Amino acid sequence: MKLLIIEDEKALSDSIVSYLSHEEYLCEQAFTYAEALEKTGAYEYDCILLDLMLPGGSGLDILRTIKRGNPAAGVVIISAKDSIDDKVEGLKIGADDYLAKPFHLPELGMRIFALLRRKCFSAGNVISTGPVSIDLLRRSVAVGDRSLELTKSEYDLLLFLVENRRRVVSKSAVAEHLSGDVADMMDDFNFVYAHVKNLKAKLASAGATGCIKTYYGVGYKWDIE
Amino acid sequence: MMKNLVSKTFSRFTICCVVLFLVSAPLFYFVTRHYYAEDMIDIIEAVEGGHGIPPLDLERDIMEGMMIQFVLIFVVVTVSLYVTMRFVTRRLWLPFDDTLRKAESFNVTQDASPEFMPTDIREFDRLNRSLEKMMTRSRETYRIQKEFTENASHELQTPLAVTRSKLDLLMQENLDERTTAMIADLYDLNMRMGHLNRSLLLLAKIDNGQYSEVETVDPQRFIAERLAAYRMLRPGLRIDMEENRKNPQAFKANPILMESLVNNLVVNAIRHTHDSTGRIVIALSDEGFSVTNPSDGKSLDGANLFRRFGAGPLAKNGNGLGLAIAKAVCDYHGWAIEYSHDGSRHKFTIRTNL
Repeated sequence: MKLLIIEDEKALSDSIVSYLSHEEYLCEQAFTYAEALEKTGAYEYDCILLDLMLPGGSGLDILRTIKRGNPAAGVVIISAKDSIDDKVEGLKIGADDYLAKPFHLPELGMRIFALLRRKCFSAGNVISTGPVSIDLLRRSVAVGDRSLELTKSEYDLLLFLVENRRRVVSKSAVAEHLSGDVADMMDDFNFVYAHVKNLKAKLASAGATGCIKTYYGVGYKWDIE
Repeated sequence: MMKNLVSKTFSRFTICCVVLFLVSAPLFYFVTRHYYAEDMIDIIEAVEGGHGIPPLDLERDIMEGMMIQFVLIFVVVTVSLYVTMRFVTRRLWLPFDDTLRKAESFNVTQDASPEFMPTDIREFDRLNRSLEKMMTRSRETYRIQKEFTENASHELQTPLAVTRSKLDLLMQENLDERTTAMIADLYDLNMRMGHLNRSLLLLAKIDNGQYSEVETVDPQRFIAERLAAYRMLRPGLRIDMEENRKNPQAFKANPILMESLVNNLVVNAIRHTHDSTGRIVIALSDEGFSVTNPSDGKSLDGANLFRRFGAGPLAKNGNGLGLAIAKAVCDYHGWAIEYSHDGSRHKFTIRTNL
């Protein structure tokens, strides 16, 4: 999978590359408007991360150019300008997703994952990790051949952890993924702990123990192949 | 042609005096003839008739005549003064009243400075000009300040994003317990800054009138859709919606602001409910809706509740902007928000039906 990260803030762009390169992604970077146009014109990418405010021009113009040349490319807009107009305009031109800064890298990872899955039907609809398999279409989970009854938030939590497997996912990233904007109005994210505990118990009762590793105070990791 | 207030008033008074004197000329004539010149007439008649001059008390006549003239002049001047003050001046001060009214109702958030009534009085004109300048300047300052908040918040998003991404990466390293704890603290701070910044941005955008689109919102559906997310924030806590409307009606609202309002009120209620067996009730009524949660018996400080950072140094409990946002959203839609406390429960009431 080839990814292009169009983002003028080098430190952020590097973080994204570093986080995503765990996967089978090949990441390239563009830091200016001109560079972005050049790269999108010359190569094909499966997914493009696009910052809307770039030195030299507007990200929306780049989006139009991309969509003219290669309409199949998936585009995730990452913008500091959390404006509804830009979001609506971006999605209208053909962006697939919109993520406002500041975001959690696991959330970005998850969005890219979901996007690529939608784009490439060949990727299959069942994710298997260790004894756990998740059927994305039917939203069902099984451990071995025992199916597991999960609540919506447990399912979302499981998918979030699995799609960011082998990496520590912060408590607040989980909180925000599960409850959206509401999470950051809370004083603490201890409610995440309760949901993780429930999920762990259900997994354990079906025989899958030790899948979720807790990093006390910081976050969680899906630690199983 | 500009005139100053004193000369304008004086000229009005003079005109009034002259008119009154002219009008009262017949009265002067009558009084002079009957009470003052009557002795002279007697003498002339006596001389013409060949009689001797009748006896006269000259001193008394002069005194009487003087008094009568004084009284008459005094009355005329007083009446004209009264008329000038009462009727003429009122017209003269009309532009001043107009200016005063417009200055009283002036609000920095309005789009344009008010147009003052044109006037030919120098002092009023100066007043209007300086007020106009002041109003334009304060509107400008307000606008710059609003834009500054919005721009500053936008600019902060990127550094916040960079810090958060670095923390996300740092967490992947093999760390000891002490370092992990430090990262956890930094992460919490980053989240708080992010939330604070988003709140400021939202307030700035409300102030800048950037949420003009309205949709028809059915509060019952709107809140029901979000109940699951609220319940997730505190497993075990009861959060219920009560429908008390006799004739359910949808209303017009901006969905983003409406969501922010409901989120703030409900999450506030969740945060401040320490008793896990407590119950949070979102009740719909014909007037609007209310959110109640159990309290520990003390009422909140109603006066500062809705002010930005009004709660004072309770920094850890939210960012001090939640209720300010709720208030701003209500003001924006022309709704009323009220806080009340009945001894055992806090209650926030939104009246959309004003």
